Amino acid sequence: MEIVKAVGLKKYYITETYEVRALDDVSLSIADGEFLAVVGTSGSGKTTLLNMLGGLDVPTEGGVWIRGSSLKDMEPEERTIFRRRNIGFVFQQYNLVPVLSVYENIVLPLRLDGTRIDEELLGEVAESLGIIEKLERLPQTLSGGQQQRAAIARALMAKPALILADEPTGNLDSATSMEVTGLLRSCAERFHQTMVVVTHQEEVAQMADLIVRLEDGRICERGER
Amino acid sequence: MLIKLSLRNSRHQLKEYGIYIITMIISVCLLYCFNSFVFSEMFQKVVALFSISGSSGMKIIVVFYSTIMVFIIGWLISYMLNFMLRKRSAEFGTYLLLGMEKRQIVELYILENSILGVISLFGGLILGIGITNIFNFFAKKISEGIVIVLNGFSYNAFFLTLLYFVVLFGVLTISVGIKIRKLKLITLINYERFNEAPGMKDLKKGVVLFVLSLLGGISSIFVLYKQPLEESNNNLILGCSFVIICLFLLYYGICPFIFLCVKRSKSWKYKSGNIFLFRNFANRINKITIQLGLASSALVFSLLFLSTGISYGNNVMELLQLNPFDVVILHKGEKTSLRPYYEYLEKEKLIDDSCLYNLYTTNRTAIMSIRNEELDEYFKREGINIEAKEYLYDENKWDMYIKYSDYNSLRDMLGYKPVKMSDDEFMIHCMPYLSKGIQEQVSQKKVDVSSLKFIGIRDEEFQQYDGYGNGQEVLIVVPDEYVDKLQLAYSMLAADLTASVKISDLEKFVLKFDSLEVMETNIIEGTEDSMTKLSAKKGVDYLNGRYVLLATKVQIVLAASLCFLGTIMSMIACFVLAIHFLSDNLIARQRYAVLNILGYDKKMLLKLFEKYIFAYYLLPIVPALILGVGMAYVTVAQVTKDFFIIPVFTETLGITLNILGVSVLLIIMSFIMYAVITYLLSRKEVFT
Ligand SMILES: Nc1ncnc2c1ncn2[C@@H]1O[C@H](COP(=O)(O)OP(=O)(O)OP(=O)(O)O)[C@@H](O)[C@H]1O
Ligand SMILES: [Mg+2]
Repeated sequence: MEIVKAVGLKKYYITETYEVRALDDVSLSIADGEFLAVVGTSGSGKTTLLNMLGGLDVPTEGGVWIRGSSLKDMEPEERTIFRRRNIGFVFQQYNLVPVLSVYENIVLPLRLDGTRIDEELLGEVAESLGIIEKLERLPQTLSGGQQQRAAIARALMAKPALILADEPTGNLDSATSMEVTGLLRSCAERFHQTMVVVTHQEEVAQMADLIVRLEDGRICERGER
Repeated sequence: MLIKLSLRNSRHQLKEYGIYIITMIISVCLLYCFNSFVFSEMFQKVVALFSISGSSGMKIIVVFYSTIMVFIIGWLISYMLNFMLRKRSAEFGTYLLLGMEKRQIVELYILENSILGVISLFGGLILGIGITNIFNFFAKKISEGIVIVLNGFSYNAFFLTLLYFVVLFGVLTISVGIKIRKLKLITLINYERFNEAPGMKDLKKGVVLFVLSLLGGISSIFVLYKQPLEESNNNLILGCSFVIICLFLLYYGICPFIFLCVKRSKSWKYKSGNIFLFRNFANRINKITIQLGLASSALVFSLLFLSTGISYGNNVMELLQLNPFDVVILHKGEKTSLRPYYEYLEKEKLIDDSCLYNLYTTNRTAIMSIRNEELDEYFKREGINIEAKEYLYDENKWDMYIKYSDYNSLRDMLGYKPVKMSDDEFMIHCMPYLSKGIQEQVSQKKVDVSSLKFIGIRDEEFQQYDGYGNGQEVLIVVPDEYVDKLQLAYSMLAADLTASVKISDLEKFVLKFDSLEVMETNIIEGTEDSMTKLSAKKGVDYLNGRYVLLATKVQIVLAASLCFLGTIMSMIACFVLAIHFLSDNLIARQRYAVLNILGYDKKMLLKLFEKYIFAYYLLPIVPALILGVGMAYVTVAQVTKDFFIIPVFTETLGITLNILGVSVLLIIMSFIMYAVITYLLSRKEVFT
């Protein structure tokens, strides 16, 4: 079954002095439970694509459907709630709330939704991400990689159907990157989640089911692993 | 959850963004100071006096300045809120990303801000009360315990400040909340990026604005000069409005103007680091137009208030010198004894030295006519549209005499050398402006005082200004027996009080005697031949002298009030400038760090930084001083000229320039002080 469908996505940034076609007619379809890697040179439009898929930004043209609902047609508040229930994000910047401890950061989306916290799962996730000892610390006392792992844990805990990750392992060494990606994969399989991971690390991309290569806002290559 | 988060966020902001809280606290403090001034007893007195004379101008001015005040404070708050929004946008973006609803985020934001608002409010009020009390302390010190400008604590000011702040802060917080609601998630996450560096403004437009602003500046001075102060306060407001407009236009236009100049000079541009300095400035100046405009306007007002205040103060000082006796009690016409007053003062140990004496008159005007001639000449020369005899109290229209012996005891009281005079001689004591004319005319025998021989003139300060004292500007000293032929004009008691006497002692004194009243020269009535006279009640004795002047002259209050307002304004100016600087520190730090990596060493960077801060502070003060000095010159000259009806100052230009010099110096000094503080604070943050 298809969980994400993007049709004819375009995103142009037009000002008096320049015109950037960050995305130029991108269509794609991602099946349930699939692990998709998006690769491409810097500035090729990867982050833009992810923003469109997550409904963070509106495309100039085209549309995105997630589980058959069009993001475009939702009211903003509706979209927020839809996003909370269905999509988890891991970003290039870690986006942790500075005044909350790592633990509180991880459970924040659950609390917002009033969901019970599965402490067992949390322990498991934190353990495998290697941050179990850091749970009571404040984010700024952690290293970049540790903060990134906390953000990943946060995305996993909400068990969303779709996880969008922008360079989740960008700050990690190659061995840890592989480890974290493996973890993402196994979680995805276990909870039947779909993953879209933007990366520039070949070895990370190689772990995906499907690779999409972007060039100047267009898909120049699609490949099965 | 939300409450916990907002509590933590508030605490975090208290720690991380001290500048935010400090801004809020100082804003509240300034508001309180201003309000407590508006509600002070002294200022109310000024307003009341103005409205007695049928002018509502004072009220309009109060409203005008309150509006400006509220506008400035509102701007400060809104600047800070937006600054904080920029700093925290990514954080809000995160909340949104995690699925918090916009509504919840706005609630969170408002809750946090309310906590910070309450803290600032009370911090600011406490600081404000502190500052008003300090100001009072100094005012009291300077005026020897007599002037209290502000109430130590004023409920009205307290509640008005509360109201202003709650409304301003509330409205602005909510409007930022609405802004957050409208912002897209993607914009929030990248808010800082989007907010950087707007492009260069249109050059031509800038130059046109620059020229317009110069015109505005000239017209503001012109408006004031054409019809300064006087009855029409609208002119003052018009002039001030022109100044504000002019300065704001100036800063909209000045950047393109400088840009044009710099573009021409390639050699300057590429000299070590100048290009960075210039870019830095050009980039920022677009964003700080309002700061520069506000600071500059505030400086103009500060200079205007301060110099006007000082010139009123100067006039009052002069007035006090003209009235060298601490206390003078005066009874008009028929003979009475002032001895009971003397006995009371003596018994209460209030007196150091005193003299009971009389003034005499007869219906001749030999000397008074010289006085009238001289004064008429002066009025004509200055284009003042009154006649000398209109400025002459009815009781004083004839020549006034004093006994030689009394005269010498008064001189003794004042510490002047005694004069020697024999039985067939007379002399004259007058105010300095009359000496020459009287000397000439009397010694040419044009005037004859009952065949006595004229031996000279004295013109030390002798309680002769404004009528009810030792004659109106002039007094004839005659041998003791001579007065037998004259009528009694006044019975007088002059006294010097001991150093510890307070105004309240005198109030008690006045209350003690039904027959004694404080002299109010405002309460006068006209006579048939267009002279004025004191509306004296029968059998009443009047209390006058230095102490009474200190307690009743509104100009003292005016002087203190204006100095206070001037101080507030200069604080605002410096604060508005500092705020930008300090809030920009983080970005500056990054910039300098990058330059450091690129190979600039610390010393060069520090020099660059110093140049920048110097230019930044120079920019608002230069136009402010030019405009301010122009406006202040007009008002100070007017105040100096108008205060005394008769020519008391021989040289008004010198005095005006002196006052201007002092106020400019004060402003520049306080400005430098604030700049140095800002420099030190931000150097610490940027370079360590
Ligand atoms: N807000 C914006 N305004 C103008 N242009 C933008 C904006 N955001 C992105 N772009 C441009 O769109 C293009 C794609 O940007 P995007 O961030 O998607 O690249 P990316 O593939 O994620 O690069 P990287 O690997 O460096 O993160 C770039 O050329 C970028 O300059
Ligand atoms: Mg990117």
